[in-house]
Amino acid sequence: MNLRLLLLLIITALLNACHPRPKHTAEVSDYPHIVPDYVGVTIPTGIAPLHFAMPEAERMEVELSGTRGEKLHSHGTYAKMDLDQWHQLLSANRGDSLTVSVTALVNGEWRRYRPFPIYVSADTLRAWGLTYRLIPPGYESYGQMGLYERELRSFSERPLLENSEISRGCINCHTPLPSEPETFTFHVRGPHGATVVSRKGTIEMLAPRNEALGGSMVYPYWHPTGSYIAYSTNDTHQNFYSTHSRRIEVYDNHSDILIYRPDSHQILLDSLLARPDRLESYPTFSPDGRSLYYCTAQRQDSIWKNYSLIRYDICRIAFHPETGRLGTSVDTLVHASRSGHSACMPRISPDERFLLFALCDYGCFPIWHPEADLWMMDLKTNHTFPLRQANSQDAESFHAWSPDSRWIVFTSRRTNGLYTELYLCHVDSIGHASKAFCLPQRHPVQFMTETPYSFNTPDFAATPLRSSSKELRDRIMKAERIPTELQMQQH
Amino acid sequence: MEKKHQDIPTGQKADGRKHTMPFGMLTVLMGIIVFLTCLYPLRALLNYYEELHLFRFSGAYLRDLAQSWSGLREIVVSFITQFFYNGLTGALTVALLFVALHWCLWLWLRQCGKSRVMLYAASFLPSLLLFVCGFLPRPLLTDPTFRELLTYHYLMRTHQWQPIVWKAVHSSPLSDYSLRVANFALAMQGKLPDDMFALHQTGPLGLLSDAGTGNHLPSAAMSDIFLQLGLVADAERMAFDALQFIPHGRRSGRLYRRLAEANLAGGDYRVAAKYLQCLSSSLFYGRWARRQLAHMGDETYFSSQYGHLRSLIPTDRNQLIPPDKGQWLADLYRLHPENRMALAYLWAYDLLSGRQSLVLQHTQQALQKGYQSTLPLPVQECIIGNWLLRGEGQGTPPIPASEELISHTAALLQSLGQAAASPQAAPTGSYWHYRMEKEMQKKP
Repeated sequence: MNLRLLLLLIITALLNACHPRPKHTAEVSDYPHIVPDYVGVTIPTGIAPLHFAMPEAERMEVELSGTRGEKLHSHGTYAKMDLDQWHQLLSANRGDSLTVSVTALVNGEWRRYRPFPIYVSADTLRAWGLTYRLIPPGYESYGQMGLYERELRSFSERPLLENSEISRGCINCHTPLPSEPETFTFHVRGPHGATVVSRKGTIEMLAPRNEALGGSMVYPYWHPTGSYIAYSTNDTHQNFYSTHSRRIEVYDNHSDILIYRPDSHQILLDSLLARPDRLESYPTFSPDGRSLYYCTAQRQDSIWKNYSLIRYDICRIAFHPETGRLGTSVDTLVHASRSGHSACMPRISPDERFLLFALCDYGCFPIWHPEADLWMMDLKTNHTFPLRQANSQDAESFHAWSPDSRWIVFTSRRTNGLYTELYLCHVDSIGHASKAFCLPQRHPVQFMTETPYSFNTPDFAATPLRSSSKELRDRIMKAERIPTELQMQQH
Repeated sequence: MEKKHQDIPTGQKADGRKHTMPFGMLTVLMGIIVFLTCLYPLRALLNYYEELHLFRFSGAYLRDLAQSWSGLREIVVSFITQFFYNGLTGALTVALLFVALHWCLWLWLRQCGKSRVMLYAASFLPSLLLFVCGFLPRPLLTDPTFRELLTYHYLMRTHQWQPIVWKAVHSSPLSDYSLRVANFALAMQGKLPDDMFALHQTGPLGLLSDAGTGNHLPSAAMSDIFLQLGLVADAERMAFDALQFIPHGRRSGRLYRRLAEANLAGGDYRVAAKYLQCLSSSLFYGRWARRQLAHMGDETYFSSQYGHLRSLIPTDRNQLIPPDKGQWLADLYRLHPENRMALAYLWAYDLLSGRQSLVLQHTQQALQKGYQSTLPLPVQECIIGNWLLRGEGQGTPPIPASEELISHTAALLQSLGQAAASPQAAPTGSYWHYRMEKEMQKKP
């Protein structure tokens, strides 16, 4: 045994000796150009190690030192950290910062770059992980896609359901109840179509369409009690551009909002949110469950030609959980159409202070709009402002709040303009965002260059999901579907 | 003499020493047969398999796959199929594998049996079984449409335009996909729409379609067609859709190269780099990918590489593709009158969809925009025939037309009219014959 250990040590030492180490270094006054860009970001404790690389560097020597003590070293072709040491370093420096010193071998020369800070927020990320969908770019056919969950403190990812298990149907818009990961819903299109509703692990398969409604249940949001789900029903179309700068336009010919009551399988369609002259979409309950936020736009004739005139505002209507009925008056909170913009995907912070939304020039599908940015409204002051530190030149959208209202997760195309990645961003008590950081990956360069998937519909998860993908798959593949009953409420 | 032959079976010399030479020669002969079979009749199949894989000499790629048995299998299969990129290396690889498997088995079997001839023959069985069951997909044996599809696809990939046209003329394509490829081959030779009715046309779907079905081949072919039309974003879109049909979420070297090309032509270097980096560690695409990567940021280089394509790319970034493909082609031609392929496809689309007024309208536009070549005969026949059918034969024809053309078209219409009762007797190969067939199909 000892001999083996000795041998291992000798081999390690020899291998180490083979790697060039900095001798004479040139000082560089700039920060290193690292991927992902973690320079000056604010991170929570409990996040996975921020592995990073320098594309032009052959070797890197990296030292992370905490202001309050602890150090961590990494050397190799990219910066990688031991999981336990990393978490120890973050815990020791919570509420303070780390200084990252990078020395890299570039074009045969060792260069020491200006050290950069990483801020460790005092606000803990009160979530176990994330759920999201991974989907390759594709428009007409569904190849490989799936729903996944990922632990935030490590790189561990597991599929919840992959469409290869269900005859390659399209799986979309997985939406959990934030406090209860076993309560979720998503829609399956294709030969085994269904709206899947799981409440505390009890799974029901709803019929994919309600003929009286004339469509399926698309963008969902859970009522905080888990007793209702608000869905939009959308007649969605897509058209393509012949230029690379804009690839596709996704728009709704019709859309309404409905309230689904899982106990009775009843759908309530209120005429206020099903106006024939308007498009209503992306419903969101307030955390207290007494309001419903959504976006709405004036319908256009010949939408294919007038798609760029469709601009959404964000509105709010009262919701009465006791009866499951909506109020009778609608408030317009974000009047984006007035300024020639379109605001959609409203998300209310759990502390009910902020309304986070995506703003683009027109339409309801900001993920394909390079100009789309995240904006915030302070619901105390009604002040609206962009999250400059979170935004980029490319599209940001599909955002969600952490349970403590201090972190958001969203998708961004900033790396290459086509593939979306997940970013996390700290938001302080007055709504100021810190510089967003890319969800850490074990092999960052490999991930960026090789993954054929885009992320979307991310959400925080309090715990890993206990439901097995086998059960989900078996239920989807069975023909049994529960019909829904439509009720209309006229005003 | 006869007795001597019986006494000394193949594989056993008279002095009792092992005799491997005749067996070895037979093995080599079988190898040669497999090699030639793969090089000629199965060349298109090798090409098909190659498009379904992308083996990379990358630690990360191998590490990810090596974590499961299916991944290890994937490594082996992808490693082998990469050699199918080239007909010679592909055929050689299959033949060597066939021979190696057989020979190993033979070396093992001959240790444990007496009837060497039988054992030797038996040692071929696993290789043959593996070849037939594992290498030849079932549709290849049972579905002539699939066989044809593979052949057209291979010929298209290798730019063998004349063989494609020859094949389509001599045997009507069995599917719209094959017909699409044949029409594209005509376009690449500058003979669309001139010679299009030499093929048995079925309608606009035999020209263009953006709906993928069953496997990656139709979408990949449409990607080629769109690229040549200057629709690089659409070429990319079809390549993405083709990728959706590649089993197990695998990458495809050919489709990744197409994605890289479309993005380089479109000037989207960040996206192109992603595919190029992936391709750079592959054996057959690597050199090209590394060359492109080395020139990243060198606008002069990419302008020289993709200048022609770039000149054809629609510039109106707010223009959505119209749902009507004819309108789409008309827009494309209106934006770039120098795009002769767009005009060829526009004419062909108008002719196949029977929109005679649009044939005239687009022809007049082409003439106004300085089209100077002789108008394609089907276009002339369509316009003049329509003019004659309207009873305007005494006035001025809508396009410059010789007396010869007018009388030729009149005679054509007359003979088709006479043959209406028995369409089989009608003179084929013209626009008006195609119309007559379409009209007949409409009748109950």
